[in-house]
Amino acid sequence: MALVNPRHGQRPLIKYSLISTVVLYLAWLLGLPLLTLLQSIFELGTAKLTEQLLNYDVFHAFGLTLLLCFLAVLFNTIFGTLLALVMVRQNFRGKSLVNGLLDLPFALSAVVVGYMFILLFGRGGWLEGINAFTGIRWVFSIPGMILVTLFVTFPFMVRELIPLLKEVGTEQEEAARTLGASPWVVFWRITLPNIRWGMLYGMSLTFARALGEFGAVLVVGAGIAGATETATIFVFRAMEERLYAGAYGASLILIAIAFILLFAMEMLKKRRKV
Amino acid sequence: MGVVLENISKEFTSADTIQAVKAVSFKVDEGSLVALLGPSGSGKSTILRMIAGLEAPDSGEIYLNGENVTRLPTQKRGVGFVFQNYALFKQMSVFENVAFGLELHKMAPSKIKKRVHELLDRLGLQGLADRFPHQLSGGQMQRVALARALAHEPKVLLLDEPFGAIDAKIRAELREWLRRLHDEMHITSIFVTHDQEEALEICDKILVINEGHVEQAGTPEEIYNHPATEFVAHFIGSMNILSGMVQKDKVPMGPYTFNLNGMNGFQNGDEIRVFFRPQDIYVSRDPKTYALEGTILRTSFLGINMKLDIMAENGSRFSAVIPQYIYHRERLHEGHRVSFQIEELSYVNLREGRQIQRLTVADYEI
Repeated sequence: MALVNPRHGQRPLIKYSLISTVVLYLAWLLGLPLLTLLQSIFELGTAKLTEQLLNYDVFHAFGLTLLLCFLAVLFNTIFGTLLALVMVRQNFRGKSLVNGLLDLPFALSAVVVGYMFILLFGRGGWLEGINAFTGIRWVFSIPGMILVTLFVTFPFMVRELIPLLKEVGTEQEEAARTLGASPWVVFWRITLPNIRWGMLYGMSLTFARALGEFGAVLVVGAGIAGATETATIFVFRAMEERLYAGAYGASLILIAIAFILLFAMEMLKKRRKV
Repeated sequence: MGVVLENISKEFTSADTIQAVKAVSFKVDEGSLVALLGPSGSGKSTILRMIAGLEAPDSGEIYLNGENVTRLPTQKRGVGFVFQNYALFKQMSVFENVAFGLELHKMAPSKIKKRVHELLDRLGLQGLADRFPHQLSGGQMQRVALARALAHEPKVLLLDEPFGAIDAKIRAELREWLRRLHDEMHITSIFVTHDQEEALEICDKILVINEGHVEQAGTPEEIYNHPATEFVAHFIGSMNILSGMVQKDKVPMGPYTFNLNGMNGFQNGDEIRVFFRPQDIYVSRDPKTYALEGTILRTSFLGINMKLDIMAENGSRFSAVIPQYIYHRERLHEGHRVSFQIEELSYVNLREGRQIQRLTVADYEI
């Protein structure tokens, strides 16, 4: 921001060329594809759109996607907060190793993650026994998809909270304890309020990542229509089957959800500064 | 009653080096205001945090008003703690901050309201009840922190460098104000500081802490006028410190040189360190006024006083601080020869230990 601040005595030419570079880059990268998508939907017309979108498989796909998003947010909020607290407040052997592992989901290709889970729970895998033990199939099924979604979305909450917890420090908590607060009261009344905006931000990032996940859930779930097909997998299948209206329509819905989410997130970021 | 520490020890890390509090014992009388004064990393904050239960000692016992609290968690100790960086609850208003402890003690809302406003009035914070911490100045924040720490009527008020983050002028106001508050409320208070001026000015008693142990405990006057160890002499106030070695039956005492005969406890080869305060030196232009002679090397203006750097005839150099009017009356200038006398001198014979011995002018009249 400081670069384009006119108060810093910057020459207008530099300022406007910087701004237009950014705008053009974004327009080319984000604006054009979106416009093409809208235009294509318009050309295909609403009749095809409703025909290809309003059916059980599509509803199921969106329902499954939302379920995965919800569970990813739920579990990663609880365990992500816990892990962030441990990483910031406790010292233990191998802490830097854990710190490195936290970023693994960022670095690994989602497809690779999917294959890892298949190897783990599939025939001959280390955890094959769990399938019989729990009576649930953990590969080519929804439980497996939940697991991989948790895996790929895991870093967002932790990575959001660790720097925040470091910044907030422990003095307010210590002050609360000297005033007579038990650890439980300290957590709910001091720690949580101090990190709540960061938590919401982490939740929306987690949700957004789960919403857009494709490779891992496809590999683990096999993308069976009406069963293990998510919204993104539906878009992929619809394209293959030349159901263009359905593909574009579903894409537009996904984009709208993501847009609302990210916009809300920006608002949250502003609130956090207060 | 009051606060008692018995043989408190703890190893801790400060600035990435391992430090230790070594078997510290002391007693703070009920209703008194005591400073833990020492350089950073000396362990003074760690001692304070152990009293609050924010750190656990490796060994030793802590008593608050006669009760052994060593194994009691912080929230059950009934202490008030003020942090250097205020540690106000950022999400809460001034009122909510001060009311926090009272709510936890299950006080009725109407009583809480009364008590909070009473405290805010007393601390000069009227009208700020609905503000949030980020809307306050440093001095105001620290007063809110004080009000919060006092609200639940703690057995002891602990202050960790309370004015360290506040600029000098406000800091002087706040510490006077802490003293007044203490005199009104008579609450046993311990405060940690590295600022000797602060400690000397407002405390009933000072504990000088160095490398994890108590170097000296005493009233500000005792600490200043009769430092017990070389560390205290060096740390408190400005002090001339000169070293010398006993040779050929002569004892060097800064500008003085005594013959060994008649002086007990010295041997050839002993290392001697001599201490005297710049203001304990009398200076005159008349060579006959005082016994010793020297030359003024440099003068510097200190406001109401003047500082003179003097070199004695035996080559030892030291500083003297004299009132401005004497400086003018005696017409002292750089390069002038002067006579002088040291009113009070102390020394340590390093072979014998670190405790300081005192000499008065009668002892060394030649």
